[in-house]
Formats: sequence, structure tokens, C-alpha cells
Amino acid sequence: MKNDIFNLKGKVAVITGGYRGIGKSVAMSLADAGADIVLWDLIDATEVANEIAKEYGVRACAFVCDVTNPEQVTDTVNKSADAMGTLDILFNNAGIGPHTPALEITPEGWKKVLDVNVNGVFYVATAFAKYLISQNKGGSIINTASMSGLIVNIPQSHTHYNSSKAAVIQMTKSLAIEWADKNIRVNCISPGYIATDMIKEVRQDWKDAWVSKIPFGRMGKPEELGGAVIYLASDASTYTSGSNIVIDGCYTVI
Amino acid sequence: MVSNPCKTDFRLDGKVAVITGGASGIGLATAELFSEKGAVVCICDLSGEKVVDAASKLSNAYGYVVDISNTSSVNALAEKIISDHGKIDVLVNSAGVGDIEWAEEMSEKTWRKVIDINLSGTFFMSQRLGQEMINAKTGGKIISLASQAGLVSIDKHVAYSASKAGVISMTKSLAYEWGKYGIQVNAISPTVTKTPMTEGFWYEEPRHTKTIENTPAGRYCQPVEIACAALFLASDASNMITGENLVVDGGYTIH
Repeated sequence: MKNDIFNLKGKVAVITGGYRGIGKSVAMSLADAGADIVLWDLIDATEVANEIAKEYGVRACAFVCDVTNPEQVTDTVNKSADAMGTLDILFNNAGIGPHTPALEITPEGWKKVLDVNVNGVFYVATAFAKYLISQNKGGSIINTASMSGLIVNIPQSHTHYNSSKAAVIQMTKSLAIEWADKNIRVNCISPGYIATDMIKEVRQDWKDAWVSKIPFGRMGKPEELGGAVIYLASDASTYTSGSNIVIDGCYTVI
Repeated sequence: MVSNPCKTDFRLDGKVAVITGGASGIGLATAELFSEKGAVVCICDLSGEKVVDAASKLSNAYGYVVDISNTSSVNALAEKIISDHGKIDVLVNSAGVGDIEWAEEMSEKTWRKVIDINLSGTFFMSQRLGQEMINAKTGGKIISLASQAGLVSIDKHVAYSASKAGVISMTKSLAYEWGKYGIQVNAISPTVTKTPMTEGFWYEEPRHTKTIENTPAGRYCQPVEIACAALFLASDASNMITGENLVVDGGYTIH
């Protein structure tokens, strides 16, 4: 490629929920495209960062951050920028997905899911955007929504998760409009069933039922999300904002 | 208490309702219900024998022959109905065909037939009868039958799905353009409904069992259940609803 518009060399990417699962896998894809990496998680991801630095020859570091705490989020944005010199890309991915029938969801359980999946995404996006604006530079924010923001999964029950992911899709569009004139692009990806640690504990008969409804006949691999995030993070997508890329092996098509 | 400006009795007394595909399936069920609710019902279909037969069984019902994919035929129908009844208040676009085939095997003829009738025919009817509503300055209601197949994919339904997605989009365009004339334009997207059109394909196994399993309501739809949705959209109870696609699918498209 003469002009490598997908190249992320010289850009710094923050990944929340970066210790494992989709976050870790996408961090590796972004590093493979040349980005320097900052992993945020509730669990210290320094070892993961070291692995990525060694494997891809990029700079990488990690910070412990609770995305539901706005002060901590702002503080961690500043620490990340200090450590790496600048920030360009945010993969706003931290989330939780418990299975609970609606009648058994406690007010605390409801608030916890919304707090991480909606409030956390909002706190991190706004703190990151404030940083970019203060530096007078543009950037790209990619939120992790879900196909559960578009359809209702069966047979498991997670009204709170589904509701939170629909909110992320609409939040993405709202922020995209508000920050259009600031050269900050905001998009989201909506994964289908992805074989991560989160899903390992799920009962087998449910997993069989899921796969039977996926036209591709299998769950996705975390690394199959990397390409979409690189696209949205890079100069390949400079006219793309407010979009939701559905990556679900055709699950929502039928 | 705030007074209710809408009549919510779901009556259609004195309204002239034109129903395409009115001699069978969802169209016939709609004609029966509208007749019961006091409307003058114009049953339109391809076969003269069938429309006469259907109309003869209902009060205040009249049969008309029309090929909706032919603009001359649509024009003649509009003129005849105006001459017979003086006005048109409600149009239900229920005529449609469900010819199916795997995409790679579909003939040009089948593709064009499905698009011609389901999409172009629905437009020609809406356009011509819409002109009457606009000229009469009385407002009106246009209800077009789309389908869950316009929202999700189904085996062998490539032409049908494309035509029905087109109907949903057309509904929004017409609603947008004709809001200023007091015309409400809406679509209904049924799931599999027990009509002559769905015989065969939807009762083959394992499709039948699988589809029922994937329908939270646990059964196929009865034509009268779609007619009820059409009655709501034809009545004054829905006067603020336009450009909407009312999905009546027992939950099929939720997941």
C-alpha cells in the first residue's frame, strides 16, 4: 500500500477492559497496526502490556482504573497522557454481562450493569474528549456496544445488559454529532457471540442453542473484531462517525 | 380530565375503504372487519368472480377488478370508485405475491413479478388514490402490508424481502411528503399468517417447527389479527401515527 491509511504508527491507544477478552485481543490488533498501547482495567494489566510491547515492538503500559469513578477516570487519562506523551485513540470497551431474569434483578444489580456499561463508557469518553480538546487535537473513540443493543438474545435473560448496550449505540451517535466540529470521531462495534473468557462459564446447552442460530455456524473469535477497530481508529475512516459496525456472523440478519 | 380529541370507538361509519387483495387472506379478513365496523368496503382483486363472491357476503361491500401493477387499470379503478362512492378515505394495500426461490436460481421473470406487484403496485395505488385524497382536502389513511421479511432474512425470500423493505421505506417517504395534507401513511409487518399465500412453504418440516420455536407467541398469525392492526391504523385512534411500521409478529423479530 503506497499510503497506508490503516497504519497507526505514532498513535497512542487507550483500551479499557484491556486485561483480557475482547479488550486484550483488540489491544494486540491495534499494536500490530503500530499503535502504542495503554491498558486500563480493574485488574493490573502490566504483564499483558509487557507481553504486547515485546511481541509487537510498541510502547505499552497499564493503569488500574474503575471506570465508574469519574475522578479516577480523569486522573487516569492524565496519567496515561503523561506516560505516553499524547493520546489519540480510545477503545472504550470495559463492560459486564451477568445473566439474571428480569424479576430477579435487584436495584443494586440493575444499577451496577448500567454503571459500568453506560456511565463508565460515558465518563471515559468525555474525559478522553476533554483531553483531546485541551490539546487542540482530534481523535477517534470506538465504543463496544453489542448485537444485544439491537436484538434480544435467547434463551438467557439479561434485560439490564441489553438495555445498556442499546444506550451505548445511541450515546455513540449523540457524541458523534456533538464532537463532529472538534474532529473527534465516535463509532461503535456490535459484536455477536464472541468466544471469550466471559462466555467460558456459560452452560453448554445455551452455547449450543446460540450456535444453532448463527448462520456462520460458529461463535466469533476476539481477533475477528480487531480489523473493524483498526479501521475506525485509523485514517481509513476519516469520514465515518456515529456508525455501528455489527460483527455477528449474520446473527441479526435473520 | 383532558378531553379526548380522538374517537376511540374504532368505528369506520361513512368511510370509504379500498382494499387491494381483498378477495382472500389478510385483505379479505380486513374487508370483513371494516364492513362490520361500518365502512363502505371496496374489495379489489384480480379476479372478477372472486370479488363479486367476497362482496356478496358482506354488507355495504362492492367488488372491483384491478391489476395494481398496471397504471391504466389503477387509474380506471380510482375513477370508478370516485364515481360510485364520491370519495376515498382509507386505502389498504394488501395485494401481494410470495413467489420464492433460492437467490442463485431466481429467474428474471420471478424477480420482476414480485417487485412489480408488491412494490410498484403498492406505489401506483398509493399515488393514484393519494391524489384523490389530496384533491378532496379531506385527509386520509393509507395502510400498506409489508412483512417481517422486510426486516430480517428468510430462505428463498430475496425478492419478497427486498419488495417489503421497499414498502417500509416508501411508507416513510409518503408519510413525510403527505403529512401536510392530513394523510397518515403506515405499514404493517406481519409474521407468517394463515392465508393461501403461506400454504406449503411454511408448513414443511423442519421449517414449521423451527419457526414456531423462534416465535415467542408459539404459533402463526390469524388473518383477523392483522385486520385488527389495519383497523387501528384506519381509525381516528391513530391520527398522530404516520410513517410507522407496526410489527405484528408474535415476537419473531425480537431476537
